[in-house]
Amino acid sequence: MGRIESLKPEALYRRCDPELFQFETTAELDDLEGIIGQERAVEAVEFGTAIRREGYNLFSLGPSGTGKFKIVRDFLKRKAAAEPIPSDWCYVNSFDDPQKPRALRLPPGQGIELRQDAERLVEELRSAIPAAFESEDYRTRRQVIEEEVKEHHERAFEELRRQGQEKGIALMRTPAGLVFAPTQKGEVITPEDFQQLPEAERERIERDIKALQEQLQASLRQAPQWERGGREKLKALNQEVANFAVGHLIDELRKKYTAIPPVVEFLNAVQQDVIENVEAFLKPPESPLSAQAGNPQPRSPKAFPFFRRYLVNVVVEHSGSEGAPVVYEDNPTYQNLVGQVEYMAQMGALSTDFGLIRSGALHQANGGYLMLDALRVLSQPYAWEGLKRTLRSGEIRIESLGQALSLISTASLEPEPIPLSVKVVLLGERLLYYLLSQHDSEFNELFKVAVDFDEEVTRSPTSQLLYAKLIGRLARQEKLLPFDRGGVARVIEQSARFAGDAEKLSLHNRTLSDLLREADYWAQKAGGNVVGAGEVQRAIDAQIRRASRMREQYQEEVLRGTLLIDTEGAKVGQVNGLSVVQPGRYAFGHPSRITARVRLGRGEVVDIEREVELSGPIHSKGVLILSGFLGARYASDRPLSLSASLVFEQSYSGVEGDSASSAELYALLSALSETPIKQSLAVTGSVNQRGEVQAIGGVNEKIEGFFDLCHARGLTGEQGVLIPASNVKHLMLRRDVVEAVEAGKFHIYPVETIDQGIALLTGLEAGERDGGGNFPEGSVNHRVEERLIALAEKRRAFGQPSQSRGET
Amino acid sequence: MSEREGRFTLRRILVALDASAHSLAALEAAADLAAAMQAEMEGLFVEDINLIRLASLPCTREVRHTASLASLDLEQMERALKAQAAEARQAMAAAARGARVQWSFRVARGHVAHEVLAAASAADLLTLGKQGRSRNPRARLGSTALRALAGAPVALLLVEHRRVGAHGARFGEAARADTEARRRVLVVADGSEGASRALDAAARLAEASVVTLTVLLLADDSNAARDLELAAAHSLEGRSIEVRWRSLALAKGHNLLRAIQSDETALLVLSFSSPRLPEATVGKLLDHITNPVLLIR
Repeated sequence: MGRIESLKPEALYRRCDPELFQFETTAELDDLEGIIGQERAVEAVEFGTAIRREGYNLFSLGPSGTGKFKIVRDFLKRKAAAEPIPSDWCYVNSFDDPQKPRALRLPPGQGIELRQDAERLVEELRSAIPAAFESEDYRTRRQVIEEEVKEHHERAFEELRRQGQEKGIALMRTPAGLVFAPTQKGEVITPEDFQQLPEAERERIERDIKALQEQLQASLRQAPQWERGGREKLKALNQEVANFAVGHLIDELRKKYTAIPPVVEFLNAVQQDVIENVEAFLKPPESPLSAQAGNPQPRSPKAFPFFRRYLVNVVVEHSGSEGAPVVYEDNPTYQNLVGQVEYMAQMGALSTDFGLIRSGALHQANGGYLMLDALRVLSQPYAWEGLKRTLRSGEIRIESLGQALSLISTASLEPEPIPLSVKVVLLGERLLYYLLSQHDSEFNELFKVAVDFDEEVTRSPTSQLLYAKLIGRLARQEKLLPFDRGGVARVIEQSARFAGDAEKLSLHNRTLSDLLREADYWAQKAGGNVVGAGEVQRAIDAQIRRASRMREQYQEEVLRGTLLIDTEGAKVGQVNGLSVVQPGRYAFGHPSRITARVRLGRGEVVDIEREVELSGPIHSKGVLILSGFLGARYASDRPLSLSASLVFEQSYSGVEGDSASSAELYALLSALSETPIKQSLAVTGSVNQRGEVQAIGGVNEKIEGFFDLCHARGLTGEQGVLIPASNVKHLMLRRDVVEAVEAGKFHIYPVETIDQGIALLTGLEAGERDGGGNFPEGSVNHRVEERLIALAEKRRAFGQPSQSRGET
Repeated sequence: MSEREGRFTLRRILVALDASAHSLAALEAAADLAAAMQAEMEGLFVEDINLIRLASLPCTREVRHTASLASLDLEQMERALKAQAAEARQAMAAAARGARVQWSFRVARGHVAHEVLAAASAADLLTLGKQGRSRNPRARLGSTALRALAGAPVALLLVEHRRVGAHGARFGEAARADTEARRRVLVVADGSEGASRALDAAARLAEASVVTLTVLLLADDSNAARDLELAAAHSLEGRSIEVRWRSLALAKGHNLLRAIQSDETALLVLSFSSPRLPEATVGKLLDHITNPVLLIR
């Protein structure tokens, strides 16, 4: 097995050659057509918006900042512009049942017209009806009816009075009723005089009075009938006159809206109601009508409460629209989604009517597209439930939360539901999508189309050119200076670094835009008129500098010897591991000392982090793999009789990830073989049970972390980092690292197996088993095996006399 | 009423009250006059002796408006009359307080017309509702009003309660009636002695209430009307009032009637005795108009 060569500088950083580009600055480039690298998402949106089936709503998932919102919105807007404008919707009073306002569908733009027509109609009615009722003709006819009733009464009374008079009996009015009394000389007879009358006369009087009383009673009983008859005649007259006044006004409207039967129906209902309530139009304005109408005071002084009932509440109108609506509801509360019925305080009580129905985002988006942020919908009480219920039922039913939850049962409105045809696009993080699809069965029914946004795109000459166009477009949109070729190339390189992969480009729009804006800032500050590589570099450096407080503090503590890290010499059982810290958006790597101690034991590798619960499960897994590897390689035919302890020195918070497992294994092997490890090297990589080194994340940050420390102490030319060979393609290292490698002052070794690694770290051969199954004398593996055999022997010696066999 | 040197004065107004709507309207009108002329008001409620009597008769039963029969007794009747009197007194007190005039109130027992006319002789003006409670629905004028018209010793103010707000009422009447009744005074001038007294009284009222005076000129032809107008204008000289003149072709009843009806809330001032308006015509006129009418003796 040959020595591993350190990587050439070209492998450490995949440059983007400015000469690849034909243009001088991005100002020359056309705008990017379409979207780079999101073919899957775009196809999904195209599919999801084109398929007109229930449940095919969209969930657009991806990390925030990838520009999903803009991409989807732009797409929807383009598509919606060519689609038909949906109907207008109005709510009108239902005269039969005011609790259940009726919904009217109107061709786009006609909602407002109908509302204006209704307002005008009320105005006209309010002058036409009083005019009709003030006419001489009407007054005469009414008087005739009133006189008729009076005549009835009067004739009856007059008759009784006359009959009484003939018999000397007067009809008198008492405070409580009517009395027939015998008279003498035009006056009521005194009781004394009455007593003096002859017996026969008295009896006659009593008889007469009785007869008259009975007649009077009979006519009093009939009086209500006459009055009712009179009232009915008067009502018929009023209706006739009102019908005449109202009919021709409404006829005009009926003609205008003849093509829309529901409107004609509404107009018919208005006509009938006006006729039934014609008195309301006759009352002088001062008289309080609210009690009669039971309606709240309107905001506009245009109409009084009573006349509100004839108005039209336009909840959705598309008079100025072109194409179908694309609505984004920024604050998706329950009410903002499904609409609500507002209330008005009136004399201390809350009341409402159809005029206070307010539309929600679903109404506005009906016939088009509604975009919502998934997290916001989920964090608003009942908004998610309301949205699902509406989508499921296919109609928008406006209910207050109290009603929907049956918490309150006071009389409120039940507006007629409006049929719904909308594509809802939810936007959210991936996690949210996976959680919803796992825990909410309805979610999968209702949001069948996942629009999955990629975070990166494969780097190729074509994609780099598209990327240059993207930079050009962003610069124009943001009104930045144009970027020259060098600047573009540098941005593309940095984008690969953002992706953490030399072969990919990041599609994270926000990070990219930030970088462009900051580079533009530095260019403007320097008074340039293009942004070049220098400015881009400056922006990158400044970003790092701003975020580096913690990194520098780490390094300072190492340099001051508070944190113990060696970068030269050799130690047994001690290796420099590398870890990544990401306190915010900026991640950095730093070395950690990992040590191993071994002694006689029962085959356990004790991970101290795990014992004190400072390690995550992946880290623990990595450590357990180590014992697997050790047992299988060195002690397949005898008990593994060591007890090893592993620790991340000076680590006081949790450790997670298995990227240190190779380092731990090196420390263990060194401790077992008692071979010192070069402290000038640092190690990263996970290991499997076969001793193969596997890829890890954050390779660039880790290398740079160790490089920074060595650089601060002075590069010796010995120093370097062992990385998994499979991570080489991810390398996009900082320029100073690349330069140090170029100068031979720093080395990066791509390692495939533990044997390669241990050879590099110890300077000794690892050793392979020969034909006899033995490791060559003096190799690390040989030393490890010997030590393990010795430990096993010792254990047997200890175990035999006293210990029972069952123990392992 | 005292008519020293043709001057119309008003110090005491007798208001006959029976708690009916008409009498309450009369009370309002009287209070207006009292306020304008700074007169005092005297309320009179007469307990009808006929009612007291019939309550003691063994043969009488009361027929309620619900068509039920009830027996009568004296005690009950007296209590009911007392309640009405108390109601009348309260109305009196409220009206007088509103007009800021002095007032008194008393209850008498006897024949209504007799008691009222007897009390009137001590006052300058008798105010009556056109009808009382014991109305004869056929006639526009109640029995007491008729008796007063025939034999009141003093000026007489007759007021009708105008039904407003009822089904099919005329628009805005409710709001207008109150204030505008006080706004105008109408008077008929025909050149007679009585008419000039009426004109004098009307002018004083209009001046005191600061309202417009409308003079209806009753003459045979336009020349005569101009003469009438000149004479009337002469008599009104020195008064600070706004006067409107309206010439009518001679008193064919309905012509005058129209002129009055067209201003149906104004106070009409007439003379009891006018050659052109004999008593019978006055009575007929009263049957057909709803204006409050002040008759000057």
